[in-house]
Amino acid sequence: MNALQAQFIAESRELLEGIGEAMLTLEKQGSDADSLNNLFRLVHTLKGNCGLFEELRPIGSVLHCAEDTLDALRDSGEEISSDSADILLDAMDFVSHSLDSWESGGYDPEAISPRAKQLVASIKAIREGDAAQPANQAIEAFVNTPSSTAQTHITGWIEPHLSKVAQQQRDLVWIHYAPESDCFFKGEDPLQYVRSVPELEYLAIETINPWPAAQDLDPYNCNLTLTLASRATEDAVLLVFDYVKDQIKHEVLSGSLCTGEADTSSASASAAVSLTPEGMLPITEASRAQALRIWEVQLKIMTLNAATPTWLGRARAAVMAIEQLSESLNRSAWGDAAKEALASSEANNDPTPLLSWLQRIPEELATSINSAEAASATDHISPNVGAGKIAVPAVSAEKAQPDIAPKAPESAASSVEPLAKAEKAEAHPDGEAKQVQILKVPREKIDRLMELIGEMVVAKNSLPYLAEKAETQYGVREVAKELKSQYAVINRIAEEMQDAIMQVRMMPVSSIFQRFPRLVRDLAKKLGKQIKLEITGEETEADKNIIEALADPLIHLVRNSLDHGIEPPEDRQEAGKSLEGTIHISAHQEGDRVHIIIEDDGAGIDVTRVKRKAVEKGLISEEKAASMSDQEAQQLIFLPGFSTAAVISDVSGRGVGMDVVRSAIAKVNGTIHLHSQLGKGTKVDLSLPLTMAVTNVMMIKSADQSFAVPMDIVVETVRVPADAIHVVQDHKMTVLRGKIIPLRSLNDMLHLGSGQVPNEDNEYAVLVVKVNGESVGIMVDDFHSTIDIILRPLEGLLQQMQVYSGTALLGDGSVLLVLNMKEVL
Amino acid sequence: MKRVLIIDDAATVRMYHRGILKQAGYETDEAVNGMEALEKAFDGQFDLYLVDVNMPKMDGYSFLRKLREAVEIRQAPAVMISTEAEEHDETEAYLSGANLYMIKPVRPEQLVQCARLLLGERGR
Repeated sequence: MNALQAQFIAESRELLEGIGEAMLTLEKQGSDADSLNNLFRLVHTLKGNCGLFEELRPIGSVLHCAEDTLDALRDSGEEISSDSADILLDAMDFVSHSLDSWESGGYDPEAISPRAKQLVASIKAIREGDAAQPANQAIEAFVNTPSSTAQTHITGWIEPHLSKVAQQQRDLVWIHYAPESDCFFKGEDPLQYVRSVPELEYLAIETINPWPAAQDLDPYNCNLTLTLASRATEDAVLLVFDYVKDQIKHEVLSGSLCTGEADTSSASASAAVSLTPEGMLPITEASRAQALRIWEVQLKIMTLNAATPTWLGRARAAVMAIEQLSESLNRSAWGDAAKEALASSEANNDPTPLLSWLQRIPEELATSINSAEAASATDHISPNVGAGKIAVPAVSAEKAQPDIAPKAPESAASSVEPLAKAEKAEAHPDGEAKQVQILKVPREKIDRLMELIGEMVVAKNSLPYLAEKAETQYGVREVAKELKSQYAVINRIAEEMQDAIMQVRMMPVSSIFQRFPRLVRDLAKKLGKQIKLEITGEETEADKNIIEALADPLIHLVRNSLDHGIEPPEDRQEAGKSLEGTIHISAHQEGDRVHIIIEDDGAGIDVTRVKRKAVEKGLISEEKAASMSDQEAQQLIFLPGFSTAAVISDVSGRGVGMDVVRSAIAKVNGTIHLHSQLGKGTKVDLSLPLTMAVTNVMMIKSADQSFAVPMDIVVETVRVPADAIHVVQDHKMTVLRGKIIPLRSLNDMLHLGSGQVPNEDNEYAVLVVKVNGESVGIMVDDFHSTIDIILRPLEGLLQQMQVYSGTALLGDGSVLLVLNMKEVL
Repeated sequence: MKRVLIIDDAATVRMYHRGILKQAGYETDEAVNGMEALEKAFDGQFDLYLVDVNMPKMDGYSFLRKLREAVEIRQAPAVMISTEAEEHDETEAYLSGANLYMIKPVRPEQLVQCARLLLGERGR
């Protein structure tokens, strides 16, 4: 895959995502012109990109058809029906899958052709019955109308809106209002005026000067100009601006204007003159044909309406084109003559001198030459570009072009610089945009950087040890002191660096949230339920790895809510709820953790059913079930092998239960909490660390060895006097603030073969941890400080030691074993 | 060296045109819409503009009109690259200020030949 293909694939994915979003917005909010335009543009761009690759033709044909249909919808102002949206979404899925297979090399244009044709047919069917043709022409006429103030605002916005206006044959009043900078002191309120405009159709607010920095901003100085359009009568609109008449310009666009193309010049085509000086190299036939075309186009440009404000610019550009053309052909005399003609035209404000000069096409260009070279060249060329023929249609001229330099597009582009993409950020409301440079960097590079900084953080930890050694072992206190102060500097830089690199890896949760609207829509339709999806906090950021690990569990949870949570409309009605169920997905940051909450107002978890099921499956005993609280019973759904769905549906029941969700979340050090109220709904709260790169652990000592326990499961550390430890049915326990805490000895659990050692006061060190929602006291010999470590998983044979979640290298070079408490207990 | 401003909202198209023009020995700059292109045209000296039609914020026609109205800027030739093969689209392009009209996708040799004629061999 070359760079161009890679770029194409990456951009296509973005475009497809945007298309999907736009479709859903349209379906939900109805066809507003902006969204429809946006959708159209995205499809159009994607189609254009596909055109660069010959083998993607079937995909291009589907997109082309979709584009046409959208265009028709845009013109007719019709809503996109749910069925049409289905077809278009289907088509986009087809495009997406085809591009996937193209990327992976398993693409066969022949194989996908039938499906492409089928899609083209069904997309075309959407458009059938669309009778907006007459309106289209009216719009075209409207838009082609040259008009100074309105012109710049027309394109882009007005086309879709005008369909309505044009159908109603009503005029549009354009106002350009430039309030005086001290207008506020005169009691003029531009906003109020604009608000009072009846039937306001369009409003653009632009700044006169760029906004100054906040501290330099003078809020009493009006820096705005307003352009607006109204469908009301001219008089009604002007009345609003009665007090500021001198500050507005207005214009009325009639709904029935025709194109304002001026009469093309009647000057007769005079005979071509030869300007070729003696001794010059003849022009090659290939260049000649193309050059002639360029010349003729410039001539055509100059015959077009001279009364537009662009005329002077067009004339200069045309002359510059001729000038550069003649230089390329080594005939600079032509260029000089063209400039003279232009000067004469400009001076007399009359297009005639330039026009008549351009009409005298040099003979050298106008006629094909009979030299040997030309003859050989014409073998490959259809010399259909005759003299005096104005404006050869672009297509035919291009088709006539031979492959003079047959280079595949791939080879031409493969030498381009690495993918660096500069894109416009969201525009400032006033249209002034700030530029943001976005660099696409392969993920491995960031990971490598992350690893390196991790090593550096550990390596720098050796400095305090070194300082201590210098002082105690070598007795050079000064060096030790300097080392320590230097360490402080390095430490700060390393930490900042680590932070900065972690920032690079952060991405917003929106990247996984954005697939939910589509998922929910499709599933709701399939299940025959009415569901409203609310998403909030999608800008919350977390480490890329965490976000990625979340994707599947989240989908599972949302599916669960849809399938088991939200009831069918009939049931909801019976329960006195609104027919439409709501699923709310939200994210927010709390300290160094990110919370993602999925909440539905569905049926909730039926605790008795859950208990019965768990007993049936032999997961718990009947007695235990009876003694369980509702809260505890709800947690049963996390047990492996538990599934309450009576029928395994293809929506959520795929053999993956909530236990898989929980272990996936636990893998990234996350926790999951479930609260459910029968008949009211269910809320699942996922708590995840911001980043996985650094783990905060507490160091503990047991049987003369150091271990570490992740801080996020540690509840507290206590010293329990030996006589406060009771033995009930062979189990040790103690009472902490009136609550019974079971105690387990770490040495016993790890089979370290020695008893726990109490301190001088005969107190045992107890680490209270919360595992799977239960508090357990772990008896150890002593606690130490907490430190940040880079956790490395065990590899090779040691991988089977599940009681350890990994190791970390300490500053003094020793290895610390990190306990996986869930396995230890 | 001669400089070409590539104006297109599609990164793939920009990359494609950039690759072709760089290989042919020209310097390039890029803009993702008419608005940005206009800013760049005001700031920099370009010898040729490659203009896409359909872009957000400001499309190719508007860009050309604004460019041609701003006569204080050097009026370099512009090639409009469009997906529409209709004659009225072409005429509209010329009326807006294009100097040449090409249909997407433009083949590399077409683009190179056109650049050679409008900019001179290797830009000199």
